[in-house]
Amino acid sequence: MSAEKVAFFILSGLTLGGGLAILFSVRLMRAVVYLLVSLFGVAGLYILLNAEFLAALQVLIYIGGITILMVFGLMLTGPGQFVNPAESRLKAVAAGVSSLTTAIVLLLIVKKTKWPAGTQALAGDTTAEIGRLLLTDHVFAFEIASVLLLVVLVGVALFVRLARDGGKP
Amino acid sequence: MLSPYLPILFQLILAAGFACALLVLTHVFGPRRSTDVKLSPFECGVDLLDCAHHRFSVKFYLVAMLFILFDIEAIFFYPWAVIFREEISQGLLLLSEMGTFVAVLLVGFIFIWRKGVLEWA
Amino acid sequence: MISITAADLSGISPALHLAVAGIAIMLLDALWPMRSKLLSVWITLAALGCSLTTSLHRLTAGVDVTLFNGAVRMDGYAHAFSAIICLASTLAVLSAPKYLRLRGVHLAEYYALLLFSVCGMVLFAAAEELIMLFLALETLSIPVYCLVGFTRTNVYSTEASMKYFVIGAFATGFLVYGIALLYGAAGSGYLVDLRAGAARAPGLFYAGMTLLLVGFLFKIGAVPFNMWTPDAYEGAPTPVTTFMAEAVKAAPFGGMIKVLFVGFGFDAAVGLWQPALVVIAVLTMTVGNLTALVQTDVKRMMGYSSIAHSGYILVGILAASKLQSADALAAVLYYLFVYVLMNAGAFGILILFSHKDKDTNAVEDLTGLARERPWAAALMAVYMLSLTGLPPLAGFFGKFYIFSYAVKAGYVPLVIIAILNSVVSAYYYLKVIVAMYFRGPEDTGRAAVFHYEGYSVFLLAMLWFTAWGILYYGIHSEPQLALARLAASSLFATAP
Repeated sequence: MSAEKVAFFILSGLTLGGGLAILFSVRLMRAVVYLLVSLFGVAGLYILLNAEFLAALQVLIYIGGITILMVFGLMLTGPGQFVNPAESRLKAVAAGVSSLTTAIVLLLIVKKTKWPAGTQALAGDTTAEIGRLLLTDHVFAFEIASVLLLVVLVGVALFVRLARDGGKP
Repeated sequence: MLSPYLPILFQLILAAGFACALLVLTHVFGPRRSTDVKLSPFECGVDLLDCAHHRFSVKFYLVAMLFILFDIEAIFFYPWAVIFREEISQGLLLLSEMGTFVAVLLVGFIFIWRKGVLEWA
Repeated sequence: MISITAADLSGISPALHLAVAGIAIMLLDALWPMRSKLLSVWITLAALGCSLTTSLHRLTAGVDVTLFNGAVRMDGYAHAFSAIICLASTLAVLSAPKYLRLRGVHLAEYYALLLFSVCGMVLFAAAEELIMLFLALETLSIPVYCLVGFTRTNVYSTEASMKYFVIGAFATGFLVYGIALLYGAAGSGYLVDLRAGAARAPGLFYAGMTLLLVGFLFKIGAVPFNMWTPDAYEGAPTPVTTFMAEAVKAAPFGGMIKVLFVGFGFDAAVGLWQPALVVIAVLTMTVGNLTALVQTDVKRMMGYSSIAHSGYILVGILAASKLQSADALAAVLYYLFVYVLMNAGAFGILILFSHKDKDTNAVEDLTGLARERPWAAALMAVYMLSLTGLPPLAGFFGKFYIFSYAVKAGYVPLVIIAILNSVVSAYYYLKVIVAMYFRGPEDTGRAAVFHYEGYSVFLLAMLWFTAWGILYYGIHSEPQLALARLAASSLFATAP
């Protein structure tokens, strides 16, 4: 077995194990830590796929940002254990069946597909390649992304303001 | 292909190993003679008041949210910076493209600043 | 090769005006908050007016340009959607100041968010590529989540905002997953290349197509993805409901039709998406109308009515896809235009009689309106009759064109179901008219007061314009249809 394969199995183990641990953990704070593990595994998988920029993004935004946001979100709530909101067995069964079917269908599709991307040559430096695409073909999307971020900033400011003084200017 | 990541792997192993080793070592070598006095908080602490899990102010969440927004903005700099030197012949255009991006977000920054979102009170 | 030319910027100007105006309003509000409210209303109207006239002008001139290395294409189709959306947003903006002032939340943020959303809508119909499509959809949606929660002190408003946001984010998840699979199948994000994926990797392609369609159906509020609509419509401040019911309703169709016709095309994929849309159209019309029957709140009722109208529009899209004719697609565009007018007017009447402490939302609240305010009642009657589809109002012609093309396409059972649905819908639209004209305070046991609080010339202008439009553009539909045909044929020029 090559080193890459070993790394692949360890990283997917982290990803899947983290995911399962989230599913079965009762305390939300622990679930967030497991999520961290799972996301870290995904970042590693990106590196295996030669997508270094995506891996860096995963670490900076998901591991460094989103999970921290989740921790703060949890700290807003009081102490206590997570109460399973699935009130009926029927709902739980329906949810289980539908997610299983989705998983099986996707698995079959992935298995059957001849991936066209597999035949193409890899870009040498993916970060530079992304940079080039971002500033040529997708330059407009890049600028619109700034407008999208701006919208979120206005939204944040709006809700802070409304919460603070009920909207008085 | 993976060789550049070997140092990272070593560092991870080292960090995890060091943490585990310290825990194990203290358990193995640490003398255990527990008395009531020893189990009470040490001189530097006060007696336990209540549960450590308090509800925190929503302000922390706000700061975290703003952090992520500007974090995402910063992410866009990486690929731009990587190609800047290669495409230096078009440096001015590249600069203006990034300049527009930053200027739009700067307006957002001025906005939240003036609206008092950054004030803690 | 990196390049942005002046032609790129001028070509995209209908969207650019809006974004720049939004940013200007933010700067103005940050640096000069005392004067920013009234100024931002005027800036918003000016920007929308600029975009509207530019789009209309370029539509008639037949401008067709591909911009930013093929990411965006401003052709007749995009210009037509841009014009419809700018008109819809102008009507929504005209109705806003009065209501927001009464609620004490007349803030410049409202106009900035609205402009950014409209900018996203214009780009959504113009996007030629999946990343652009996704970004435009998010730019379109996120401001609306914020606007729905604009009266934060109102618990319903907050709940509606939360619900809309969570479900909207869920729908986006479907959409992004679909985009990823389609990209995997086709190896390209450009809409024209997507079809190639059907032969290359059929499993991926069809899974991606299904997920993408689910995302779109959420956005247009089609059954069974409609659960957010009534709550969001009811909880949102009424001017925001106006905006949602016309602009936010029309815009997703812009991207959806383009992806269906240009992206998936009529050769292989059509065998899957056409039958699926037939089932969804039937469900959407029927469930929407039947649920609307039992509503007592006009906003909620209009929410279900908007679901039903999504069903009619889907019938039109199906007819256009089967006939592959620009005329049939033009009927859909005309319907959207008329739908915007009717909805803006109906919600405008509710805003007209909103008070400082209480909205006028229940059907019962309108009891006896005809005696006290005959003109307002007459306007409301025009909107309701047009929504029902009574000749010679524009609503009738909208439905008539769509249904006749559907018959031509061979969808006779679908049209029969649609007509039966229209008959059912007459019950709840007429309920409003009955309350206004044939019932008085003696029936409900409480005296209704219809006085104008916070008189607004903007709002009155909007009401009269929409009523005039419904009367005029019904009978004189030919110029509108000619424009719509121009727009539709430019889409079919790129479709296979």
